[in-house]
Amino acid sequence: MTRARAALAAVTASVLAACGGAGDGTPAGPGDGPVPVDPAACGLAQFEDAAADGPVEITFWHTMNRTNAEWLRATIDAFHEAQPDVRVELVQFPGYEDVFTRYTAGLSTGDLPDLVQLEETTVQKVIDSRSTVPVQACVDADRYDTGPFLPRALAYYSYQGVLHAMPWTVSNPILVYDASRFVAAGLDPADPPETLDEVREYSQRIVERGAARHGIALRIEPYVFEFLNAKSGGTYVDNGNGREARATAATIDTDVGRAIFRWWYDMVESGLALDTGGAPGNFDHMLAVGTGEAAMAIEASGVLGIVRDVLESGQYPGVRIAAAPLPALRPGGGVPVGDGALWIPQDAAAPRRGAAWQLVKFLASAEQQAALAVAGGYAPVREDATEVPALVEKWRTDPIFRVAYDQLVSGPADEASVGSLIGDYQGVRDAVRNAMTAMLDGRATPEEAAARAQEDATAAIEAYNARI
Amino acid sequence: MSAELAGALQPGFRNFLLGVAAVVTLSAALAVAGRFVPPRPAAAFRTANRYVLLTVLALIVLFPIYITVLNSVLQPNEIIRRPPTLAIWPWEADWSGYSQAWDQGDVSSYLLNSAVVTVLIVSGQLVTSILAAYAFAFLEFPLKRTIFVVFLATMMVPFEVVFFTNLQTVATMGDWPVVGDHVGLDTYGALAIPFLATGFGAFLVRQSFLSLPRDLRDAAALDGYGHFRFLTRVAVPLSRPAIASLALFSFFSAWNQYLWPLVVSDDKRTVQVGLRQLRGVALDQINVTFAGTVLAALPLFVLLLAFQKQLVRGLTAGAVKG
Repeated sequence: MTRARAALAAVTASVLAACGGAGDGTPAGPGDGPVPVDPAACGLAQFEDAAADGPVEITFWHTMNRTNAEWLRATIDAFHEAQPDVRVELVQFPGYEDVFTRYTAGLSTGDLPDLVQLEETTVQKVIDSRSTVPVQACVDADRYDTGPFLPRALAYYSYQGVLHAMPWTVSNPILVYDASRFVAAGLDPADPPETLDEVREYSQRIVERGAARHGIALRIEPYVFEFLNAKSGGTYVDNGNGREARATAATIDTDVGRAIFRWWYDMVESGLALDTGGAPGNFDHMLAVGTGEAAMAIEASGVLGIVRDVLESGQYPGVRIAAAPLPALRPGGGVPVGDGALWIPQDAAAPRRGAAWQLVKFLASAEQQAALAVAGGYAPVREDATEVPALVEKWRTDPIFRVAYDQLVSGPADEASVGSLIGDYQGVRDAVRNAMTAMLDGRATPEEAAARAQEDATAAIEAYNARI
Repeated sequence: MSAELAGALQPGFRNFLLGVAAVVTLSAALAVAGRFVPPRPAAAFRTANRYVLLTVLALIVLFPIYITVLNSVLQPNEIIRRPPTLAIWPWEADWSGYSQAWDQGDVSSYLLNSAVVTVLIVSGQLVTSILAAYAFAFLEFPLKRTIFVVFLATMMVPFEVVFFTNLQTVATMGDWPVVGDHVGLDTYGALAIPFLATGFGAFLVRQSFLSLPRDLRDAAALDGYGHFRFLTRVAVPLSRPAIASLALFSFFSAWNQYLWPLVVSDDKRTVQVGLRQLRGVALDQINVTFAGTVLAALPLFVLLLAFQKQLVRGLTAGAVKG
């Protein structure tokens, strides 16, 4: 464990170093230079001047919903109490898609916030828009210590050595299963499957013993494919997953990609897996675990709390929800971070940028990261958050909530686990979704589907690159 | 074979197909049966058939509405029960979803914002359409035909094409003196202004004006009516069906807007944007989402029921002259 972590840190450091520090790197591709980092852009000095005359007001666009939104409001109250210099106005958005639409529209009118929470898939687009101050500028200006942060969380939001956004609400997909059905099938719930082959074996056992009708329920979801692929050591796009230079093609039609398509197809075809379709926001795969249609499912760690509350509400007698790291083709892989990060738009007046950074620091502190993990089931992005008593207690009583963190710090730090940078991320996801749907409808073999996904995704990437 | 085929389809879609197949089979059977009965009772039988068929089709159309209302009064854990509870109506309806949507879900303020914006848009469209239609129908001026074609051409330009231009216009309007505070971003003005005039409205009302007999115009002139009095006393009252259907159409489209309100406003969120806010991933409060949906759709239902006749008549008005 410690060895793996040390190796991770070393590799990430070398990756970052190889990419070159600010300003001294050479352009890595046509039109791609490293973004120059000017610590003055953070506006710290101006913020301090302005704060001497009274609090600086900033607007924060976020997508936290329901209980998480309540948590955020309370946290902002605590922030207001903790310091007199920054006052935050929260603007809530229904989802990542909406806030990004709004952000893009704002680029043309200047109607932008001082801090914005955006999804992990938007990184390349936001960098390309050159509309934000890289968080690196503030890190440098404030001599902020990023030491306690998980290298992989920082690496995801870094491009060519420059940290662009502060990882904040981090989650990743995990294996969710009903321990009772494992017991009924004579399987040890404490020993969940680690590989996709083991998922197949477990599923066979579960179906044979009649513990559930299917082993696992699978929703057609590109996001799950991405993480299976990454954890199996596969990149999603070329040029080091888009990290060395702008990606030019997808790398889905590879041994790893094809094997995952094949596994998925065989599982559904043999009835070991229940295909619950590809409608986004549909929870049939989780409900299948509740009704005993299936014993396992894959879902984002962020919704684990709600899923468990619902499935153990008494509606489904005997269900005992457990969670395990995402299985992959082979054991020992690592997953990238997913979900939200904080960006500081550069259009705001300097004092407001400095003020936004104060809020970023607060939200990224060990205490607040631990509190967020306790309240929302997210994985903390820094190691010292795991020593905060509230989180220690939560994980001790409810170990399923630490799975996402554990898989974030395990496995090698390579170009697969750092995660991909793609301009038209949605276009690539659509390609994968369409190919998977075609495969499960019997319109394509797994190999054809992987090839089709590769082709369509590459077309999307090329179209984006041509526009830039 | 059909079982295999059905198994390969998504469960929801499969049920839908089965439903459609059942209806088609049923109506085909009825139609065939209708042919084999003796001539006299045939007419009555066919009418009965027609009613059965229409009832079944109406049930299919109404089902999504029924399921939305039903889910809004069920407990969240009953909504997600699989297989679902088969009851026409729950024994103990739980109306708390509505109060939660109204208060915590902020649906009350979303509805208010939508109402204000919709009223602005509908009245704006009525005024501009009627005045433009009057000019095109009754006045002579140079390049009338060309200008009218340009009007019509605006109907061919999707809103998305002018989206950013409109956005920038509205953003700069915020800097205007005096009115800036009422028309810039995050105001009711910004939400309504791009929709105050439509080529479609002018076209629809013009068609209706053209169908008025020319003699009316002459009679009114003899009575000393000027343009304005002829418009308000004669032309508009006689074109009520067309004007009412224009009002309904603009009401529906204004009420259902999503992208524009999302982008121009934070404080004045309209109900469709608000509904998405209610969606979230919270399975444990899913009844609140359904309750919000019902509340948001309620004004549309009421309007539709009240003005059904106008709507249908307005659509066909002017279709056949004479």
